[in-house]
Amino acid sequence: MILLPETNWQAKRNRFNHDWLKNKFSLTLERAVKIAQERIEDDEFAAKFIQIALPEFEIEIQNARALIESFESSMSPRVLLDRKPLNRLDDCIRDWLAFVVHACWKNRIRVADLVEAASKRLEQAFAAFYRLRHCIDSKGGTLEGQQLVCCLPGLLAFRDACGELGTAISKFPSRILVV
Amino acid sequence: MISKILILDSNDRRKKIKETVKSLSCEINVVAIRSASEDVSEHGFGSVPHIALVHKNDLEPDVNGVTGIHDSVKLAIQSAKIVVAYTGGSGGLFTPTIRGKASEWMYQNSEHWYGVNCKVDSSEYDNPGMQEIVEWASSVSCSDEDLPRLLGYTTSVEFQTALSILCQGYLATEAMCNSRWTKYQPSDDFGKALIGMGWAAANGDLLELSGEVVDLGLEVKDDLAGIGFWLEPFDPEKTRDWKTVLERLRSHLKFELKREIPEAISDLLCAIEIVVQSDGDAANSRISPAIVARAFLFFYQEAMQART
Repeated sequence: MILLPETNWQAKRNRFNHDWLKNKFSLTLERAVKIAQERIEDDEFAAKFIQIALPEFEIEIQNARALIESFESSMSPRVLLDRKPLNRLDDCIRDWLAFVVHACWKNRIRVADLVEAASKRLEQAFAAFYRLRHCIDSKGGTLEGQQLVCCLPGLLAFRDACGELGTAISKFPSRILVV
Repeated sequence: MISKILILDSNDRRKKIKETVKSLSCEINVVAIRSASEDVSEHGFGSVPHIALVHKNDLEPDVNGVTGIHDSVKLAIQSAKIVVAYTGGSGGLFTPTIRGKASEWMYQNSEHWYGVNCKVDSSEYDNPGMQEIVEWASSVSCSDEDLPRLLGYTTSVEFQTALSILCQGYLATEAMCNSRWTKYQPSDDFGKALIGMGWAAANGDLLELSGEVVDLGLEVKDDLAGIGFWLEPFDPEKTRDWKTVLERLRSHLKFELKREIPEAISDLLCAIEIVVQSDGDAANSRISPAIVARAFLFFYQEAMQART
């Protein structure tokens, strides 16, 4: 089996999707949902969620956007033509091979569909975030825990949208696929 | 003999791993903790042979609010015979990567760390695979020559990769230059290869090419028939001693494949050898597209099997 080592793109995808979204932010969101559903009380956590975790999403979502946009250029097997041993080929042949493997790869794994689906999920997560942010801001002056209770539908929608975004990003191949 | 296992995982995955270990032996004392900040000193990890199974993220300094790693946890991991760091991330976790991290985190036993990709919290969890790891780590030798399958090192595959790309270039050129006169059959090896690589659809349609790309393909067509196309990438010193280069290619492929070279690849190498021996004789200087197609299909089928 041809299995190539991890690339920078994969490392960045792992950091965003696995390390941050799934194993950090989602857990934070779940706790916020429990507070909003009044299953637990934790005003301190609610305050941190609103003041720290939510602003962090705005930064991280930019990383997700960059990931999606750079997928085609970073993960195409075309990049292998610039590395040994194929970089020893004549330039003209390399240009042709680069075109062939890139065009085949795009067609084979439906790159356009993957990018479009992930971009759509990203915009939905972003929209859900702004609706939640707006809802929370409109409840200013009350305790943070109470703000979350009032914004439960928005919080649930945001949680689901983040889950869908994670799923869409996880559908990108985890390796440079030569075949 | 191992008498204790430390499991560190902030998620409920630790319960599943504990079950895996317990299903092997009731005599192993399993200590499962959810945070690296917990105190495990009472379990005496520093004085008994043990292994550690840790979720990669739970050793990161700032994940999930963990602000520090308790000295007793650090000692338990540092003195472990084997440390297995696991993740469910789709990118996987390679042993060289986690060993680099272990060194960065100042663990002295980083050469005894192994990375593994196992989706513990999903239906894809490979319970027998994890059992094999625990059995191997518990064995007296636990040598690298006898690694369980989930811990296998990723070796270089640059020769296989390069060869499969050369096959694609050759087949695409062949399809582009000949499709105007002879339609390939989607059911034969050539057609199957074009479909597998994404150059053709099952209905026989080929990729639409711009005039510029067609010109480029026509420009290199004759070069692709030469021996340099197949062997130059594997001749770093530019010796053009093709017989030696071909032998080295064979040897590297065998090493990468970890077995005898399969027939489809062997046939391609023999065809290349005939071209080398023909010494410019035009009648023997062209490799049959069917042979190249079968070689490509070998790589393709291997990849498909690995993904299912």
